[in-house]
Amino acid sequence: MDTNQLKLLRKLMEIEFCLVETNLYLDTHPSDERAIRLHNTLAKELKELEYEYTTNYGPLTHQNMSRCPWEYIKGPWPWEIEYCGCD
Amino acid sequence: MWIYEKKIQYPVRVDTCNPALAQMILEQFGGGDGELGAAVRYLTQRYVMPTDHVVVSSFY
Amino acid sequence: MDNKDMYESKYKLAHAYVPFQVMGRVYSPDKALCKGTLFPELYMPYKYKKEKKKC
Repeated sequence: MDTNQLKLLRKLMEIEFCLVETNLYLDTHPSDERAIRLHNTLAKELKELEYEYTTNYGPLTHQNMSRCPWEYIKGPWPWEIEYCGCD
Repeated sequence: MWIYEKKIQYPVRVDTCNPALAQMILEQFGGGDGELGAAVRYLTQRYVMPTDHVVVSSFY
Repeated sequence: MDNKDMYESKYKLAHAYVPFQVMGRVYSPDKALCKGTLFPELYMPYKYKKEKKKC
């Protein structure tokens, strides 16, 4: 896994986590416009990142497109990746 | 209802083999009062499925 | 103390409350993931001895 792929995956994880946070916040604050704007900005960013990642490095789920041969089964799997952690 | 995504939420790095710790984690995960039991309980209690029927109306 | 005394007592019963969160500043996505929350007011880490790991 090259550095750019690792960086992109990390960014995906970051945005996805923030979306969980805005989701939970909005469940109890459904009329907070600022929070909804933040959520929408993140959602858009996630879509773009997912597109960039899957077109360059293969599918993240079975619903993404693949080149030939079938790339979904190609490693590394999440537990095999050397993440740059939060330490 | 569920799909597999080839990524995880938080970066994990395993740098040592520790069977004693593994045993403890396994007990916490699958044992009595473990995460697995809690997860199934959350699921059957509609965890992460809020609807506007259960949100207090004064929010709107 | 019987029930009647309790209600006429000068002491108030215990009240429980939870302050309602209001979104203020938020962390950047990379900070949020590492801290485990997007909201600075919810960042309450346990203190532990830091062991510096290189990346």
